[in-house]
Amino acid sequence: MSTTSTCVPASADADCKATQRTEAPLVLLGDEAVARGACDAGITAAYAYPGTPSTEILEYVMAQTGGRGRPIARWCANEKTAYEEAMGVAFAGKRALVAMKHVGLNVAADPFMNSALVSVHGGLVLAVADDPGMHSSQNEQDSRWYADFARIICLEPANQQEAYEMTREAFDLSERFRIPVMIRLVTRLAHSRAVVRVSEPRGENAAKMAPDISSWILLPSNAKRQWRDLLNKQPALSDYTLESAHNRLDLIEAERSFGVITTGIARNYLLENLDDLAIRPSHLHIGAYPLPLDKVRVLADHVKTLLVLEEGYPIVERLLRGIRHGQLLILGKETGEVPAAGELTPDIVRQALGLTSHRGVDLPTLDLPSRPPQLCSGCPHGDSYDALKKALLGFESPVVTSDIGCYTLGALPPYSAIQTCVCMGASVSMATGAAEAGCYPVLAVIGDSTFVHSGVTPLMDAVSANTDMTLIILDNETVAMTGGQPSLLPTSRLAGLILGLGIDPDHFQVISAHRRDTEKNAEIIRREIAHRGLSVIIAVRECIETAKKRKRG
Amino acid sequence: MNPNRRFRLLLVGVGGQGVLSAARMLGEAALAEGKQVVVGQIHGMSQRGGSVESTVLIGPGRSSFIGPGGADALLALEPLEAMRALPRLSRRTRVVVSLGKIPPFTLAQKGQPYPDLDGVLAALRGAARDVITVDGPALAEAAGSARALNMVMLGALASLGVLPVSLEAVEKALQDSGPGGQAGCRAFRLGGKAIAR
Repeated sequence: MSTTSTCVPASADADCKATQRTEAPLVLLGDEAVARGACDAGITAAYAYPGTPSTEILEYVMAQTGGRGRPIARWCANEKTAYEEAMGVAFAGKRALVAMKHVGLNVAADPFMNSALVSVHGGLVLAVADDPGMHSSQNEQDSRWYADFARIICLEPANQQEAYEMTREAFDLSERFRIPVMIRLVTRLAHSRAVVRVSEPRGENAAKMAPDISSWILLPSNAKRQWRDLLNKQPALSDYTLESAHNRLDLIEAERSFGVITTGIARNYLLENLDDLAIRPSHLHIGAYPLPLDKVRVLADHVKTLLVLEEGYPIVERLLRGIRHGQLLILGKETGEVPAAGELTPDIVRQALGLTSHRGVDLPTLDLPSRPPQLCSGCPHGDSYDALKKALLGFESPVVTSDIGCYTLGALPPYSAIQTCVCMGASVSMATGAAEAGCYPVLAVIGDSTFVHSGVTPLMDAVSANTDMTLIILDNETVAMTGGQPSLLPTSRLAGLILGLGIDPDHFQVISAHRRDTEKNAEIIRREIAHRGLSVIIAVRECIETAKKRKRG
Repeated sequence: MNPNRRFRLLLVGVGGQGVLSAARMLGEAALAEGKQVVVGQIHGMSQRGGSVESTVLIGPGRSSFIGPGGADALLALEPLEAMRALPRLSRRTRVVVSLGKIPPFTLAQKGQPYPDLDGVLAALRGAARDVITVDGPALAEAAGSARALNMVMLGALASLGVLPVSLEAVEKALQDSGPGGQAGCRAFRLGGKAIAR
């Protein structure tokens, strides 16, 4: 490693150890710390699709870009295109960040898995924000499994400072091992602010084509070689994580009964409870994967009971099962000491450590009315749902599939207008399936951004089969749910795209999502339901929140 | 105040009331005074008029949680949301609550009234060290805008002297916060004066 701070601009292979800069510290979200780390690591570009809790990563890069135009920061059609664009930057020898939420990685899984096989020479870093506890998501899948699946390095920060430093390091690791590197965040870190001290920024890489082009052409003959290469790298990756300061083993020689393994932010919760423990347990913290197996073995050999505290799935816990079978008791989510679902909290960890829970005030028997989120007053989606409900009056069992966005709140009273919300774009394809299963009438409701993300491809299936369904695109001209990022396709071009897919123009309607047009719109929807083939309706009106923001300037 | 003890403030309210920006300003002020600070803000779906909460923890420690009985102070921008925070109060918690009610739409759907305000305040008083009630909406109007509610309430809390940051540091953070910073600063002072009287 270079120990100088004069590493700007750096070559693709340089591994800079940046020195502390005297710049004033910042209070940053975990997301923002990742973004700042990427900017200071000399990225040329950052790509993302918005999704809670990851959205603020690209927003911060965009704010850094300012009027200079560098680094490039772009919202993309979906996570797959975002990942592929980042791959293109890396192919040209420059550094790129791609950011998404956990379920977005399912969409980007194809390029992600295959990018592990190519020989990356421009740093490629994936920042993915998991949502244990499902604050704003449909599942709590753990992206660490994906890193293991792809056989790459995953760094898991425990605080904002680590998020900054690990992101910088991830680019160096990516170029050193020629693999993409994952930074895994969780909601509580992504969405909490703390003090971050930044260090000297590094310049961009010079453009440099891949030294071995065949490593990027994953024809079976090349892919077999690349896969062997990736497998052959594994011992080097393990050596790195074994030596990494992110994986720290504190062995208490005199205490041989009880040990704890923490990963990521679980360490914070252990440390907050440590003073209350009668004996200080031996402790291994894991912040870098693949697992530092030798450190795990040393701890497992040292104690009789091992508690595993990790945010997300019991990954480390499951990998450990069977070690010193019959001699070592492994406690965690699979044995019930830690709840299997939801987030960790300091109090959950406290109880798992055998300490009594702090007691608060019991809620009085007063029945507190809940305050769920709802569509904003004046929201165009509300008017569209009113028209939809009117159009469906008299039908015994209409099917209305829907999708992911603000309009999913149409599932709740007073609308109770939709029946499904599974994954991005599924409204269109599920409606096709339901229609082919014999349901009538079948409608699909999707937002404009979700349609561009994953609704266009299933619509091609529906066009080809002339499926008997009516697709309603709720076009509020923004990505509203995540705070109003711009839509990729404005209304005018959306219509051109849909007609270009081959929709019968007689059954393509653009309506205005206004309260005053509810009767008229209901009639149009009724007419298209009566058409026993595919119809598409775009209901247009700007999101009330973005309209307000625009007026305020 | 013991510098080795972590100060834990819980802020609650309804989406749109400015809970997160009040927490953020306090975080900036703490940083400016060289304090260790963590600000937690869980949002997402909660933006659409749902319950919102944020935490500001100043002093040693890393997590953004306030557990059962763990709040040193509660700043509530809405009475019902203060009630929801009860499990995290204890006999040492100072509570400042705005009396402006925002009835959840679920009540109207069920044809139920908003819970009795005296009952809410009695429950809070039964749980906390003390409860300061503030006519937040009136003060916000006096400060020039209903949107100033978060800053008048923050001013009211800060004037009690319970925060481990100075009034000046908060005012400076507000002034540096861009457009609207001056108005926010005026609202903050107005909230403080209302309590001092």
